[in-house]
Amino acid sequence: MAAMAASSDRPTVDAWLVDLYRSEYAHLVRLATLLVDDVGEAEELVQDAFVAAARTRQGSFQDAGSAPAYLRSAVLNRARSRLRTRRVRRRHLRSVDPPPSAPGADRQALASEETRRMLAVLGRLPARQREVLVLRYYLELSEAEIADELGISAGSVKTHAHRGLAALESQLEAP
Amino acid sequence: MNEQTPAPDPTGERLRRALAEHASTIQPSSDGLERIEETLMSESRFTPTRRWVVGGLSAAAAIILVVVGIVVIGSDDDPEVVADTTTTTEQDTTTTTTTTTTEPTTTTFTRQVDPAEVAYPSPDTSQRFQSAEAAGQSYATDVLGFTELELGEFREGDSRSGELPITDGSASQETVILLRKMADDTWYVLGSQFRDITVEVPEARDEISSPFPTSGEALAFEGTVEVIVRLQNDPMPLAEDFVTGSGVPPAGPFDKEIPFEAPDQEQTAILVYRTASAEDGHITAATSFPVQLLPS
Repeated sequence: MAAMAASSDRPTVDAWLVDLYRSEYAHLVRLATLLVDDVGEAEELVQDAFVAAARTRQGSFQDAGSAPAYLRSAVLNRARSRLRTRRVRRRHLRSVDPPPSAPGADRQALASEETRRMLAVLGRLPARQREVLVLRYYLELSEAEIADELGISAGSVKTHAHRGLAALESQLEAP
Repeated sequence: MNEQTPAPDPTGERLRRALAEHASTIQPSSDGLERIEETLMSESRFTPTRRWVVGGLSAAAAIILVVVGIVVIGSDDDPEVVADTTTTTEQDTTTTTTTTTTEPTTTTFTRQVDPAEVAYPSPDTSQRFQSAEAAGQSYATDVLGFTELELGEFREGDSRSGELPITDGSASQETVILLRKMADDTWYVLGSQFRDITVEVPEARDEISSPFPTSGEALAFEGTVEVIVRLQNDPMPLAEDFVTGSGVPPAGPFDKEIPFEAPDQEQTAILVYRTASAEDGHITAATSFPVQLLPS
């Protein structure tokens, strides 16, 4: 039950968490980065999700297979909170904050022109549209799965996806 | 998995490739597990006892000599986890007090559902619903303001979620109430959606302060959509305003700033966007969702 087991003077995380880390961590950091546009922030919030899982949940998961789903929801919730905080802060400090979608140097260097443009436009979309598009086209979730994950209706998922794609298309075609 | 992706979808395909390409360049640092471990160790140093809330603890607490009162406040970022049998749950914020009397002088309060995750009922009250239909019906009348109500058949998404269609008796305007069974195994309303009232700003679970901007599209009688701001645990409106979309198809855009009486501290509220009958003014349909109100 305990998330940590004593090992001499230094507690270590349980084996189940290590296994979970190995199977999920990198994948979740990539997902979070696509949502919050910053690898450092993404790592922080994924680590935070693992800590929450370790603290509370081992004995509560219905089965071993539900742990990844729990982590994914925790990461999505934290990414949404992060974006929400950014948005509120921007509203109050419009002239101080840099544009949220400014591409990082690593992205500039590594991504192709097509990818760079696509991600820049994606970063300017409303948070919900961006979230829906990433879940649909990166995680390959169905509309029903996205609806369940985000707590919205399948129709709303369809609307956000449609509007997000339309905005991508129009802005990519703009000179 | 992606059976609903329309085909052809060239922009979607380009996006899929871009996301995959970018994701492949992201290399997480190698010390993630160490950081997680450090955080857990740090917490264990500051937590002399394990902070577990065990099912049934509150009943036993009344007769034991040492009463441990545990006040639990859920994290709005952690998804609910449901156990098969006895649920053992630790929460983010815990305060512990100890007394040696035989009377329980501290209050044990376990809130299993985060208020920010649901619209109704308030997890801070004792109101709970054992069926989705009961929760939906109460929400329709007590929150949305339906006085003429016809419940449709509950559409199950999975064993713990689904949609309840409702109308005012006229089949033309269907409001869909979204429901989910949460960690305490009772049903909660997540919000409602009416096809002809689409709210783009704010979004569910957004933090808003007064005045808040709202925009979207609406098709309603004379284009008028009433907007109600109310706390999750108090039916008294903090604001009653309106936005104007279109009175004739297609739906027209609305964009307005709405002031409300700001609470003293951050609280969960429900935003209701509703339209009324041209004949007698009864509520016919509503889109609604929870938000977080920030203090002024």
